Amino acid sequence: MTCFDFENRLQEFFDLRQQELPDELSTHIAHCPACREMQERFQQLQIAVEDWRMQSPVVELADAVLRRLRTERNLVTLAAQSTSDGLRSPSYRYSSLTGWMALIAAALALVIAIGIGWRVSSNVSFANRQASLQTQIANAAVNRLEPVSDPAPTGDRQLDVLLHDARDAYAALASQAWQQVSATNVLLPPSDTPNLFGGEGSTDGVSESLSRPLAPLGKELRDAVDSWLQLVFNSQDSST
Amino acid sequence: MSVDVSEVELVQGCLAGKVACQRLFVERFEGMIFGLCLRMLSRRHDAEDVAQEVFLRAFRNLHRWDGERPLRPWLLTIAANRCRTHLEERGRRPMPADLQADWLPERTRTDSRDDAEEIQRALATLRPEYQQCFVLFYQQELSVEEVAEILDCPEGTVKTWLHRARKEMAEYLRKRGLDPRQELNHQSRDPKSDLN
Ligand SMILES: [Zn+2]
Repeated sequence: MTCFDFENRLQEFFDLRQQELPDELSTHIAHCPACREMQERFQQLQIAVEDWRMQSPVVELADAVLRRLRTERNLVTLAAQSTSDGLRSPSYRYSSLTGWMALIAAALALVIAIGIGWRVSSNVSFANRQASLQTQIANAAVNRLEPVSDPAPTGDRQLDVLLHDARDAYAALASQAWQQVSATNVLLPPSDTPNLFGGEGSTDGVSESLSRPLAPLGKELRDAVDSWLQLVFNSQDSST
Repeated sequence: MSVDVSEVELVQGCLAGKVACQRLFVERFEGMIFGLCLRMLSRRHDAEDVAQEVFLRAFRNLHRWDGERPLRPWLLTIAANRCRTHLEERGRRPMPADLQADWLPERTRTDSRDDAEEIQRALATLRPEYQQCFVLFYQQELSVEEVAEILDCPEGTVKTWLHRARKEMAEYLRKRGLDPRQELNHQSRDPKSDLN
């Protein structure tokens, strides 16, 4: 038996919880000090593990678990009531109202962003006209005057500032709108329960019983505004 | 209610929302679940939190339990997964000395507490999957086959993890200066003295 075989057989001995060391292992350690030391180390571990296993502190979890279970059940009942009562429920009306406020805020953000975008493009046209006029003057006077400074930087800087303001304004308004949309769903717990044992669907009864009607709408609206603004910014960038 | 109520009856009672059944359910399995959580998490407070969570998840999923199979491995699966998640969230940083093995009793006249403490320290240095494997095999006294079923992995993997766990722990004890010969002599002199 090689030392490698010995180690494997020794692990098997522990895995099978055998009591007596097999003869072939005893024979090997009789003339192999390295394996004997290894066997002694593992044997020492077994003894210490037995002490560790025997420690059994008392615990009483029933009261705490039942209390948490009751709280969870109450929340589910409350949530189920609020969804089934529909518009008659004051909390739903509140959700609905704040949802509409969020929509209005998002729409406002859109209008302001469009306005800023229009101002930006007007300013760009104005800057371009100015640049064009100055270029004509410069061309006409090219033989007599000192080389004129390029007007483009003025236009670029102006555009940068405006675009920056537009982005900030949009970000602030969108964030505010998004917070309002999210605030209508603050009572809903996260659905973080893993799906145990390969079963189907969510294992979390709480999240299953509820829906988030405003959240997807808010996200779609936000995405639409985002993509529209991206288009505006891209066209401004390419025009400069 | 009879204490020796069958598992199926107990589960049916829990699913029907009977508080007495739910209480009995927790009382029947709390020792096993808490024992596993305690060994895996070392800290009593964490173990209590996670054990409670295990029961809540079990109650939420009782309708999925296959009545043909015993409850114990089903619950141990939830517990082992929760503990592993907790350990991964906690990260692999070493624990401060004053927080280690806070559940072990005060030192007795024997040195069994030292051994148990050393094992708990050594265990806390292992990778979560080795810990799971080690605790299920040694503390829950499950077979390699049962551990493999709970961890949903091949038996060969369990054997490898157990081997590595034992090897790393034996090495830890060696570095901590535990002398195997002294231990073995102590064991052969009075094998039951530590258990008193
Ligand atoms: Zn050898």
